[in-house]
Amino acid sequence: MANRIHGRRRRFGKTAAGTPLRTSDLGYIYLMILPFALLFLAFTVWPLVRTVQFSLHDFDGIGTLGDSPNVGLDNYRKVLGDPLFGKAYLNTWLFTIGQTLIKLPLSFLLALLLTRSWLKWPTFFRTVFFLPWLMPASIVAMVFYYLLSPSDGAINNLLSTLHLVDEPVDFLRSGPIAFATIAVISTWQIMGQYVIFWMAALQLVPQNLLDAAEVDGANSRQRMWHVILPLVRPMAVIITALGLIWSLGIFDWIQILTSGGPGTDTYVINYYVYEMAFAQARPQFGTSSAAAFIFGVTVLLIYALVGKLVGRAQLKRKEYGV
Amino acid sequence: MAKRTLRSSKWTPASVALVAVMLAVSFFYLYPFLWPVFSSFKTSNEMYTSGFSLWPHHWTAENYERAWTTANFSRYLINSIFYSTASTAITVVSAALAGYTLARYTFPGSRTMSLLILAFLFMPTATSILPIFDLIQTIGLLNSIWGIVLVLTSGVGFSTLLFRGYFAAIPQELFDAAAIDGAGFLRTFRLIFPLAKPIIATTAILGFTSSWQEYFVPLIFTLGNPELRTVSVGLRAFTQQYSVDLSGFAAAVTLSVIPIVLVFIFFQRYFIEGLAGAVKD
Repeated sequence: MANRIHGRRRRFGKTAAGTPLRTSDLGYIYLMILPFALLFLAFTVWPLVRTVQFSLHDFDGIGTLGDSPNVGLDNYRKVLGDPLFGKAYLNTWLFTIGQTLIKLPLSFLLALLLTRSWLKWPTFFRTVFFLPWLMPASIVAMVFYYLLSPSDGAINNLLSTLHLVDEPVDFLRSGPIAFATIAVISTWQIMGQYVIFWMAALQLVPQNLLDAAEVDGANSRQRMWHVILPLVRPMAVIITALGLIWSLGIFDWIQILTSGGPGTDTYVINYYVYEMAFAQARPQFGTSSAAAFIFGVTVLLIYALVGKLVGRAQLKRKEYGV
Repeated sequence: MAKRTLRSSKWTPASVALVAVMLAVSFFYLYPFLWPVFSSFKTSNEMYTSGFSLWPHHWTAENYERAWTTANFSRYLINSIFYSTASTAITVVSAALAGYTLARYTFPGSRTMSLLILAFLFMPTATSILPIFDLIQTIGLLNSIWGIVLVLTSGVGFSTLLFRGYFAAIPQELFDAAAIDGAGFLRTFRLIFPLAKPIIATTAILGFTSSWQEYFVPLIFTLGNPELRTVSVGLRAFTQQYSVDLSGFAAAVTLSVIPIVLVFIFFQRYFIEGLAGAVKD
């Protein structure tokens, strides 16, 4: 008898305190979760299922999927045999790693500086570093298109006035240079957001802990390594994951500044997917979906792998008592 | 915390030097942001001769007139404001309700839901954009404002995680006290919910700015109807069509920044506090 009641309680669910839920409460819970569940299932979960379906058909996105011929894994063969896909894939990861290595440390240092108690006019300087974030990336890209112009752009004008260069620099002249330029200016645009994330992370470091470390004779470097960084780490993982996702999804900067060029040197995955699906004489949703799926799956695998490695490293640290 | 860090110490030669250096850095840092603002008051001719200098010789407001009418900019601005506001409202409300239940209750499906949110957090946009396009087309919302609004709610998973983290960090004693007072499910929710102000502001700012910034989605979803374009997609079309009207472009850019600066100023005092609260546990 007691067992049956226990079983029933488990089936109905419980509160955070462990007390069982009433049936009517369960109704409210499902009602409250419904709007989210609908949005999430329709626009996040279901699309993944459909991507797989699309990728197995010769689908142009106009008719219905049922009317388009099933081509098995042909789209995957086509994508994997396309050198442009390989290029776009590699470019996306190289850009992501490069940009993340610039933006995360830089925004962390900036957040540290902006939260120091000895900093004068903190509100003013914070605003300065937040402002660019409020201008959409695509619009910033258009502004920079003019600023970077080799013929009459303000940046080349400044460089030649200061005699730093003899002739105007074309900041988008080749794949690597264009990517480096985009990495720098996109970091400039997004910096404010990451500074805010890091400032929130730094708020989790209690001042009295830092004071105590100081009283115990820890210098500022020791306080950084042994107090601040360990406490900031959980948030750092989230910030890094968000930063990677942002860079992997790069599209607007490429579409506006280089259109994948010169030639196809700055193709990235999103641009490849977009071109395949919307800029062809006959839209190729099938091929485009196969490319998107391969990319999505490898991203998830790499995340899982990195997550596992990080987890193992942390276990090791615990074993060694570090 | 905020108050303590904002406290300034005495001026010393070192701090004067630091402020001087930071002011110089700030100027160059803000230059690309200030460039459209000041350029929008220059005449078209001056745009091509002023080089690096920001200050207009002859101030003029003509550019704003041109941007507002020729570029159809008033339309785009209204579209952008509507998309961002509506999608943010939908995102925040559904994320708040879901985050609250996921944080405080275990019920059939709650674990699966949390795991799904985490798993799909790292799914790149490219992977889902075509089926979303197809779905919106199938339910007849392609070339309609609501189609775009719905697609722009894609950040709802991340917002739900933020709300879940924030509600999970609220002390159990508050819930116990409510229970002792005889509060049921809905009354408890009404008592607790006002505590979520900082995280509401945080998710609202993040949602509004990311919708406002979005380019890929509105570009694809307005291919068939230019009237529905957002500021950024419209501006892109404008620069391709009238590539010589630099000062008109600058005016349009300046106008496009105003709404979001207002949103940011309105919500910012809660912003950092809310983010910190969401990851405390």
